[in-house]
Amino acid sequence: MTKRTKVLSGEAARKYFRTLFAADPGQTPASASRLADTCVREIAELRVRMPVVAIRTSSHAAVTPTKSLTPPAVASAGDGAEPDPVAAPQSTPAAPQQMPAAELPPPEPAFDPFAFSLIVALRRDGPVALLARLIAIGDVARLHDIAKAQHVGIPAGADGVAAIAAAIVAGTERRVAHREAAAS
Amino acid sequence: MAQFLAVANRKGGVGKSTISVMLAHAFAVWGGKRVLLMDLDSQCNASLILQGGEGWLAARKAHRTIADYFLDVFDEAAENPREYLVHRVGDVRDMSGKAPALSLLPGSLLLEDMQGELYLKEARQSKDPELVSSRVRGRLERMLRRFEGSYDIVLLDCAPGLLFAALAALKTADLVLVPFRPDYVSQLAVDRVALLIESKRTGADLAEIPLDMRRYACLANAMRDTGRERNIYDEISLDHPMLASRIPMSAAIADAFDYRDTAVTIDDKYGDATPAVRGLYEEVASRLTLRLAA
Repeated sequence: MTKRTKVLSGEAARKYFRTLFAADPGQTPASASRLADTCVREIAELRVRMPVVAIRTSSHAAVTPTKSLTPPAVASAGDGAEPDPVAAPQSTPAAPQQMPAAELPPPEPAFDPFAFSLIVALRRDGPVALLARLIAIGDVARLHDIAKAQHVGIPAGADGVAAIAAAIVAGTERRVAHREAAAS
Repeated sequence: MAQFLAVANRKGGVGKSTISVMLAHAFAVWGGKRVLLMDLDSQCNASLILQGGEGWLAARKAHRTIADYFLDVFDEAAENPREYLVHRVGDVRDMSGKAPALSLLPGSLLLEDMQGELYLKEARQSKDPELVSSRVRGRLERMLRRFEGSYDIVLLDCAPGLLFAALAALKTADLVLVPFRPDYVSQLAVDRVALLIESKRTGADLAEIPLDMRRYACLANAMRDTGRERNIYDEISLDHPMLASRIPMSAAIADAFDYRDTAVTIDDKYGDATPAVRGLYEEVASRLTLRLAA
């Protein structure tokens, strides 16, 4: 039997992961998004079995997959090797799933860079807790949005979630110091 | 005996005069109180709002402004201090159509100069600048209290510069309201005025006073309720007592401070901002009652 597979990477891979996790009833929109982002970040290239399922996650449309659902492919490390059918986790190819509109996850609310004040979080919970909270956001673009919105500078060389989160904590500490100096 | 409510902030343009007038109207009309508003700001906005340009000019020509009052009383030349007050001011009427019991000691453009003059007069008695300043403030405090037997509420609309008269007001007040606009520089101004109100030198000293024991409360004014503004509100609330009431950025509020020759009810005056004004009044009235009881 010929296995038809397709390599996905970049935006196609991101879309695949988002669609896949959003369809999982055990995921919230936020957790689905985080998982998708983590996968995109950590997985350079993805080989999926064809046909690739198309599941619309809009709550206004019934889900009618146009093609059969295929089990998640085993991610290749980018070496192009075909996944080992024995070693790879197997799941029974499922019949096309139709998610009732009522069970569809609600559209993810727009990200709010003001959802919490960095200064309040730092002063109430401390730098370690703030750092953990920022890392849990897990998205470089979102961290940049928070920093920009709340006027915290990030050095040019900061790269990756952890480094940017640490830079935000340091920048927030400087903002607190400015305020204390102004009052002195 | 009157309760003294000062409205103060080192920063200008945060709404001190408009908040002062709002509360003056509210206490007089909804509260049925005898209210005196003393305009301690040489910009004289509260006086203009309550008297209109012509009324204020008449007070100046008659030498019946706060600067005249301070100078004349300081020199013991005022035969009847009550003559400096203007009664039943404003373009708001109570439910029965009468002008409420709201009096005004009109502001003066010369207030800062007058305070300098008072300082020089007192300095003839002593070379110690600290002592001179203290004496000037002390005399001004006594002058601010001059009418306390005749009113229930005395509102002190302070100038942003916080010279002697404003400092005397901060000392005299039972409660100081600190309006602020939710922006970065206003946040810094709140920090500084809080130190003055509580007579503390540093933020660490101030932090030793529990929030519910402080003599002031901050009021968010002209809020648009954006995420940034909400964050600033939360940041100020960490260090300062904060009123739950917030005054929204509102065309109705801006319109309310036009002086009208034809009087209106307080609801018509403030339009769709009336609930916000009412909420502020009730919260401030409650705080004043609590402070008296404490």
